[in-house]
Amino acid sequence: MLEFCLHVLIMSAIFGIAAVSLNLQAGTSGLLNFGQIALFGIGAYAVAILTRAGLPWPAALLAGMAAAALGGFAIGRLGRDLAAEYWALATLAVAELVRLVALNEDWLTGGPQGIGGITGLFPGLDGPARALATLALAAALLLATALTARRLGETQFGRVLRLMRENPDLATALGHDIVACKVKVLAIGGAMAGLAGGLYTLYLAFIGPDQLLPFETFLIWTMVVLGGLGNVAGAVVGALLVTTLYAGIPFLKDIVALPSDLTGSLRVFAIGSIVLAALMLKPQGLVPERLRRLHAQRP
Amino acid sequence: MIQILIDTLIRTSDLALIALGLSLSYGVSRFPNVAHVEMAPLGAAVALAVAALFPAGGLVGAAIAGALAAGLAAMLLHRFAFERLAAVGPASALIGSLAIAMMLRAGLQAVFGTRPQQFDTPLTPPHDLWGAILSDLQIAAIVITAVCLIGFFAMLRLTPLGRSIRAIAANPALATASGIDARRVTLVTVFLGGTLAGTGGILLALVTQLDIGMGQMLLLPVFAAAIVGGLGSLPGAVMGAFAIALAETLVMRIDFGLLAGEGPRYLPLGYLTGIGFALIVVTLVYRPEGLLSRGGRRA
Amino acid sequence: MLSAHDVTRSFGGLTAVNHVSLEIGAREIVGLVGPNGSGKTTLLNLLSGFLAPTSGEIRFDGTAVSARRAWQPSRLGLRRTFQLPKLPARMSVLEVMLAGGRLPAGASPWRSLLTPGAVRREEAAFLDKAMGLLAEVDLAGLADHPAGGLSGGQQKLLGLAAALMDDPAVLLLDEPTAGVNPSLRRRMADHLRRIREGGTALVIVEHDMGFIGDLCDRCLALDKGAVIANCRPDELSGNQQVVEAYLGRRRPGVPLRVVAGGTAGAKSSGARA
Repeated sequence: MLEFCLHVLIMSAIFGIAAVSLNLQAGTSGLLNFGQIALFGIGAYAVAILTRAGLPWPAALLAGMAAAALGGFAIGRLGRDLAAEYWALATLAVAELVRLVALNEDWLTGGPQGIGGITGLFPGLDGPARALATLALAAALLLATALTARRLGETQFGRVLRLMRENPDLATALGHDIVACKVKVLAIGGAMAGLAGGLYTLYLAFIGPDQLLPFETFLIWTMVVLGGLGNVAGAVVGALLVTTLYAGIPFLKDIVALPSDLTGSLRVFAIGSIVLAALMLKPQGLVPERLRRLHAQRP
Repeated sequence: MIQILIDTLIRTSDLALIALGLSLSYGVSRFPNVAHVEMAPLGAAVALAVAALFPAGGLVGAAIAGALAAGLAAMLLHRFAFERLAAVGPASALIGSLAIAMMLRAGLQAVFGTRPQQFDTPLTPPHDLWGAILSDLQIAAIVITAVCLIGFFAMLRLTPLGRSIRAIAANPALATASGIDARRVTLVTVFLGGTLAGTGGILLALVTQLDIGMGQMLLLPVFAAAIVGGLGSLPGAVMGAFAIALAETLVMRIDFGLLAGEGPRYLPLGYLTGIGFALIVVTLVYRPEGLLSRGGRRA
Repeated sequence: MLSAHDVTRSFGGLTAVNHVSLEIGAREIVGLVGPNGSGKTTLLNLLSGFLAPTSGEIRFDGTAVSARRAWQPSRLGLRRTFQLPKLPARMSVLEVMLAGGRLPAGASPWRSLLTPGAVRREEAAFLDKAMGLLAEVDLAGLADHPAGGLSGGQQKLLGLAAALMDDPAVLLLDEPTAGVNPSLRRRMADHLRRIREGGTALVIVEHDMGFIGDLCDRCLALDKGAVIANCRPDELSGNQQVVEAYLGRRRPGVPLRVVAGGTAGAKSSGARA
């Protein structure tokens, strides 16, 4: 049970980073990235390939972040003047292309089997000690990511992103190059997603193309929508809730005797209904975006 | 040569009806509805169930029941979910439609199981048509698709309902002002779109087999067809389906080795599904209004 | 300061702006008038770089204005407002003001993270400036309210105040008084005069002829995309072409309010002057 709890918390922290990243893109900046898992995947595969080649994990993690930032930069350039929904479809397609490459380029990615046998984090420790150390690392990185995202959201950079989200013409009229802003925020979001992906690979010692299915993007979206678009704390809360639920559903079959091939469907169904309910009943999420009262806060 | 043409026609008939339904719904509801594609397996599954429960109704009766069920489902979803979500914004509608697509797929899997199933159709020897091989069922699918398309476009041109649909797609405010009940016509249109998708799914299941996960396989090629043809453009959707089918057929048959002066080298089969994605990206980046359309729809 | 040279813009077969040349001097207040559909807003979009001309060239302070970099004119000191400001509902009034300022440290993600001191100093200076500008349009008390929750008229004032955060040399205003109540309208004119005294030239698209006559040094009248008059506001009513442009669009049953109000406004302002 302790092991399971630690596992859920580690996964929550890892997906929390991915959710904070998506929140910065979609919540703060209004960029509907439906290819978030591709950025996560670029980081994950980069870390797998580089650690297998003998690079120590911190260096591999940094390289993975850089690679994913480049990926974010590329999808930002790609859709620089597309309407939001069209860009969303384009990112979905890009993510599927990335997955196809992972699936087909065996020499680099191991093909359908993926890359396993990665040394992973803290090989000197074992059992709960290793899990605790991993959790501490993941939680520290989540905290760092969340603080970074919060800081970026409150300075002029974040103000321009929020103005771009709500009225791009006004942002342009006030002298802000919104294409450059998009590209910057996607590169930053990419680096964060790459960090999450790299941690995922290091924790599970494995990455494969099935981890890059569009459903995973959707899972991250669920966390952000449920927690509250535009609020960093919301993304973290959403990640914890959704990860717990997702990991907990298989236990239901022990309680209500569900056939095991149904649990997969049930998981998907549950996630889908949460998003739908959140969208229809509480569009601002559990922790809504707050108005920043600069005047009241002045010294 | 003939074989390429035949293969392209077969693939076109897989995609055309579903893409047409998607573009039709988009024209009146103004958001890309990802759940639309799930009407294909829904229609096919209902048809299969009806054929098994009421064998007396025959295959045609079962197919009609399936298509109508798909239309009804599309209409109910529009009435009870998308109307509300679309009022919040196209982004909410898009995310919501993803959620509903997930739920539909999971629900269908729970009810009908994940194993592929087949219609009980007589086995006939395939025909040899100037060197190309095709079966009775494939001929039937191509013919039925063509009949549906002709019937649909005749309805659109010649009937008062068709005129109302075109008026709303062109300018909803103006159509309402000139006395058209936009909400009712939209519901009827969405019903028609669902019926078309259901028919497409039934034909696909007849020719090959019913895979409940077919929505996932169809999502990007169908969106690619509709986007290449210009979302909302109805003849464009059909031409887009043909363009995607032709591109897929050709790319798989081009001997890249021959072009490069080496031994035979084909694109790995694994990339087949990537062609649709790549075309989406290329179209959205260079001609967001659709490769085959003239109007503009940029941000 | 700002000049257009033989600028044409067509949409499909329709020519919205037809071979327009104009020149706006420093500290000038120029009114842009004309009947509905005469191309005023299109011209404003062209001048501000939001639209690319089909042919011709627009220069601001020696630099060509390009629609591919619509943000650039604003940084050089050529700013605009919108007919409908559509201000964000989830940003406060003061935040919108700051977004109008130039805060290079805060606008850079790196410096936001690494040099918090510079970001804080920069923000403090602009907060003072923003509160001062808000006080001039009576919005200081609403500094922490959601910008999108203001009334239409208040949103216009806030849009104008945000544009002033960077002390532009030329400000293009798209119908600044539409939706603004009459008492505020009078004060708006005073406010715009003060802005000019601060060193900003103004180009104003406006329907209210009284307002234009009161305020402008010069008027450009547009009809069917072409400039048909370039004169003092009080000379407009005597211009045969201008009168015909308005009368020509008159449909039976629509009273002659625009022309009547316009001439009356222009005359009364002339009398007062």
